[in-house]
Amino acid sequence: MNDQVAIAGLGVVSAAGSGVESSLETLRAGRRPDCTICPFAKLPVELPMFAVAGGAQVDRTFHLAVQAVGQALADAGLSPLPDGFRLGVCLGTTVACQLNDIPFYAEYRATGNPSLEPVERFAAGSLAERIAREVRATGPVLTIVNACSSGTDAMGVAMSWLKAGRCDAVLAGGADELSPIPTVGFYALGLTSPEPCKPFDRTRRGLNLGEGAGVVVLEREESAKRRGRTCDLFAAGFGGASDGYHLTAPHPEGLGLELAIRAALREAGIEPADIDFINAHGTSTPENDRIEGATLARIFGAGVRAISTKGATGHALGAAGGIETVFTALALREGWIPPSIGFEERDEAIPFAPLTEVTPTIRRHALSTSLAFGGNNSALVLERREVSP
Amino acid sequence: MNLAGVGIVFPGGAGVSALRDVLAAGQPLKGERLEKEQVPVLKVPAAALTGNPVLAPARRADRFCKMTLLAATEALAGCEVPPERIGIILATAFGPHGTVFKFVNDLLEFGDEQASPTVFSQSVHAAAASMVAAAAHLHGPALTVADLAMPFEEALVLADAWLEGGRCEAVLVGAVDETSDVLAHVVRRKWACSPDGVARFSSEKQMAYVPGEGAVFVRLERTAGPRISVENEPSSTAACHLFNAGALGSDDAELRRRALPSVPARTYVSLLGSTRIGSAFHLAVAWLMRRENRFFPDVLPLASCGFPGGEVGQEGAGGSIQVISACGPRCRAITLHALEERRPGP
Repeated sequence: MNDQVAIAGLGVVSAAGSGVESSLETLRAGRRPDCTICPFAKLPVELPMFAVAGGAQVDRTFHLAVQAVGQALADAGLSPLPDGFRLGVCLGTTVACQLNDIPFYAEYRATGNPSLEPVERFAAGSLAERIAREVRATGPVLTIVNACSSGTDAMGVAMSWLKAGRCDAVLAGGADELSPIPTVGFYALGLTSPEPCKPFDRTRRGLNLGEGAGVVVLEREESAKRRGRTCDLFAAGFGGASDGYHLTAPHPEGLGLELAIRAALREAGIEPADIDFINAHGTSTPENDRIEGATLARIFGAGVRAISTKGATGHALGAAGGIETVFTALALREGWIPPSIGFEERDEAIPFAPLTEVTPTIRRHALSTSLAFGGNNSALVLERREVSP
Repeated sequence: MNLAGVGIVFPGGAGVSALRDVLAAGQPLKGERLEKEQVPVLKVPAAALTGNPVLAPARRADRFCKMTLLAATEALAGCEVPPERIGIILATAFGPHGTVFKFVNDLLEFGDEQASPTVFSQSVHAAAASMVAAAAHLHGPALTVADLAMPFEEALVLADAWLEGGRCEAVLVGAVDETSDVLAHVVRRKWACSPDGVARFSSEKQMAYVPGEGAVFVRLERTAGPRISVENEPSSTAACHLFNAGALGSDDAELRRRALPSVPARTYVSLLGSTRIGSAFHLAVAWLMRRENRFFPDVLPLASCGFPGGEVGQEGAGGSIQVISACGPRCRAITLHALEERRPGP
């Protein structure tokens, strides 16, 4: 059986743009979208964040996901779904998996008799379950709640499903909205920056939260061919590994990240030298960027070509891996690597400086990495193949 | 895939030995009424979550993490697979929501600026699996999944793919959920609770819910232990069906429709309470029956709820045992295959 996994469709919404075209425009210009100041937390500092303009305020994560899913399905020629088509849904999130509605709890505390409307919404299903109902998917369904690596982990699960023959295609990615709980939580952990983030920069002070959704249609190549589709992008390899070290601090030597990257390269059947560029996790926290930078340089050499796109989106948590997969795929397709927004000054503790100009691609493979709270690490290898006319 | 180890924490205590004792006693566990909500709940006893050296790395952790660590560690015992080849998949419906509400409560009580980083970090769904990885120094993939339908069954199928695809040599698959005052409040408002504090198969005439909690982990490998698989329908050749009845928010009518007159049926929901992790709990029961080659006493016979299946005796649990769950029109049957049944050849 041909177990090649094609990327048949792309959908993305973030502060960098709604849809592929506007996102590309932002990324190519190297222009940081306007940040807003966090409106919903009472903290002694103002925290910049990357919001998506407009859209529903209630049930926002679901609506962000619906937008990206609609784009991805249309791009894949799967809107509407063909009869008998087995579509799976695997989406990551952090905010939408928790019944963390503050007004609900405040009313519960105050009156003991709150409106159950937020509970009803939660009980209507997880993010993936609701999207599966929305698009009438009949394949396997899972919501990944692996903190910041959720979106990339969803790609790995989807690839496992497709290789095991469980379905023809999978909507894979992630979605998350800006919310007071992670805002206050990340502030409490000392990880937020009072200024726009600067991934890998010497003066970086922390992350800015963002929101959005990034979804791809991963499809078995033979299924895409049966539908008459020609695919130029492929999910070639995935690796996941635990630091097995600490709940909030990354492993000091990046052990789990290295294991994840090497597993992804192995599954793709390639060597580190085959990787053109890396869309790094690059949150702009001092620890993440130092350890990730050292690990990438150890595997790929100090000449590694790496960027972080979080300067254009903020850290969209469960959506980050989905959004960054879409951006990585677009860069391979377009033939240029976007600049790393926010970087100005080299950090001597990091063996490389990220790319700061639009740079042509020269190889077929790229890597996207995600590191999560609790020491979960994920790596995804994407490949561009020439399409014969 | 094969079931090489089991670990459990449930309202009857911690460990497989506690499960055996409760099953052998053949009596339902009775929920205690929460003072605030006047709802009966089946909680894991506090004694089960204290004093165990396994919990040393989790001394500041919440209940969700402690339950997870205890059950996962027991399931991992005796595993000879290298730590970088052991994966974790934790399935949950509601996650550590008690900790989430504690975090929200602290924000309301003390203000955003005083938020606790420790409480926040434990309110993240993935924290418990990470704690297992850190405590046991595991370096395989660790995944937490949260769905309301049947995430444990999906996790089992994914683990099978990881094993067959060579991503891991062993996978700890767990189901964990906790109860809380808020959950009890919601259950009281949305559904009717069991008046006598005993969780049971629900019917139009009997109120079934008693919110429960626990953690169940199974260790899956490619060859060690009895084979298991996940199907879409119950099998008429099974020696026994264990019905995952009384699941929080589910409709047992669908389970009743799946009952086969030729196959004896039981449910042990009265030993766990109403949760979304009942299929994992019943798989642990099936595994223990197999290991001891006996059917434990029926606690609340399903025949009293109009089930058509016949009775099984106490001896000879060597045939295949299926754990049946339903959510809406969807059904899943986890099969613990008969002893003589081997893995299919290549």
